Amino acid sequence: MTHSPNAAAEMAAVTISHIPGREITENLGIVFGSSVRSRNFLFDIFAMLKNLFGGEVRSYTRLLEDAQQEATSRLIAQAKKLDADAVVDVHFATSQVAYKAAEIFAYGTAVRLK
Amino acid sequence: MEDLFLPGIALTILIGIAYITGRLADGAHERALKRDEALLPHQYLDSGDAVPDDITLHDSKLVTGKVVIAEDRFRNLLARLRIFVGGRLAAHEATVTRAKREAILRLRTNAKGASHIIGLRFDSAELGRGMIEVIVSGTALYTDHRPTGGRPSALPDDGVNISHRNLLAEFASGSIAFLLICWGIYTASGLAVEWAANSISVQEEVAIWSELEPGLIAEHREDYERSLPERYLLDLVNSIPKEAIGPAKDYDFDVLIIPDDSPNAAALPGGLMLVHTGMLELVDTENELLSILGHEIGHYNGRDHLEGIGREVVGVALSAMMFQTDAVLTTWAASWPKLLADRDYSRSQELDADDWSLRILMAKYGHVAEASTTFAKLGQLQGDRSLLDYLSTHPHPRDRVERLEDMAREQGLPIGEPVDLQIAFENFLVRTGEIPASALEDRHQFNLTNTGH
Repeated sequence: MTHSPNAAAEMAAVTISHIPGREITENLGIVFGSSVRSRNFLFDIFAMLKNLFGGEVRSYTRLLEDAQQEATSRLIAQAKKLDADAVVDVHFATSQVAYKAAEIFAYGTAVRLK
Repeated sequence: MEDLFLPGIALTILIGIAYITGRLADGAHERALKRDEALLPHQYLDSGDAVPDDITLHDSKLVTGKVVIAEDRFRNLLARLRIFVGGRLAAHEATVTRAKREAILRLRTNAKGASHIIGLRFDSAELGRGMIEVIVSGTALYTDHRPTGGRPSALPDDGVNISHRNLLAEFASGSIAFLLICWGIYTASGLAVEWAANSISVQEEVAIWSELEPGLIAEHREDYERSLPERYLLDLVNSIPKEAIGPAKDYDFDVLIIPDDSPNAAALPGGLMLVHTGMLELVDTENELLSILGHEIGHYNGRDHLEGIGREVVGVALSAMMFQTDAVLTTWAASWPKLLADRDYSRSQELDADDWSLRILMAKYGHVAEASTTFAKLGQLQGDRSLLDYLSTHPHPRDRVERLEDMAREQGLPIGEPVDLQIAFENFLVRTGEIPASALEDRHQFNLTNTGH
């Protein structure tokens, strides 16, 4: 099995519809992982100041990073519960569920490999 | 003081109701989802776009599932508390997960008879705050394939997507963190304001204030604009030996009498002191009157009037930065730590001003008679100590009476004969030539509170 660059994840989660060099034997259905997070108020205030001058808002990039990581690891955790070998066709979606809080949502198809 | 409690109580009841209805709605939705998901036939769900090659395809159709779920106010409040500390919004995780299950359920219902739904895509809309919108779309494939047994390809256990936390415990810890943070912010901003106020010179203050309110600056007010009582009060202030006035001696003081029955006085920027007619009615001797004016001069010495304005401005700016405009409850809740932070600060300002008042009395009359009389009267008006006094920005008047008396005793300040206010006022009128001395035979014709404009 090819190893994911994310060592903690162990299981492969890819955005294409196959795992290179492996054959998909069974489709276990859709799995998803979601993360709803916020930064604390200090970062919010910094971000607002940044909004005056422009430029990258690193604290919010970090928020997206954390949320995306958590969403992916939850996606994989759900796939593991199905005894899947990998998750293919992974997509991400976002939504704003609450003020200054972001939801990152990862979904994909859990599969068994030969 | 009532306005501190009433909005909070009303909002708390609303939030309490929202907590109950929200939990009931959660439970009902969860049960409905479980029931309906169990009724659905087996279908393959695939987020990939490839049509499986082991089936005979009869038809295909675009199918969608949409759902919008409103968050209850309680959960909303949790989110707002959470943004102060950051981290996972446990309360929302459950709702967004259920929203997705509901959307998929509707998608699958719309794809009745299809064996596969491929190319699944999730999307979200932005309809309003506190609402969760999910749109899922896909292509339903109608084939001869009838999946039986194995996994139903419904949604797997969603436990991994939800941090199981007690919402009430979350609320309690969030509230405490929120209040502590607000208290810290307001205390820190108070210190910053204090530093700023003390670094503005009297001249700069007068110059700035002349731009803003030229009508309220002594040098722009003509003598005829002042009523006789105002001129008397100003004369009294100007008769204080300059060396007894601290840093405030640079001010060109002025006095404005406000027709208001509440016994109050205030120090405005630029050196204008406001005295309510209610205060003039309360005092009986000139010494007592000077104890009040001396107290206001004490505020000028501490630059308290600037700090008061600065604190208000910073408070408004901070709450605009930290809260949404419609976050009534968080804004209300934040007014409490602000009140506490301001209270301790304001009380020490009041006591400092009392010290100046004592010093000014001593310099003017050579004794400190009547130094605490006004506070004794105010104490009687205010009555016994209550819970509200604990929050008040001013110390209880009775405590101030005791403190002033103790100070006079410790410093060995003499108590002399006070000057009657009526007589002092009439003497002023005669001295300045406003009335002939003979007019004084008809006593109480010239009263401090009714000789106004």
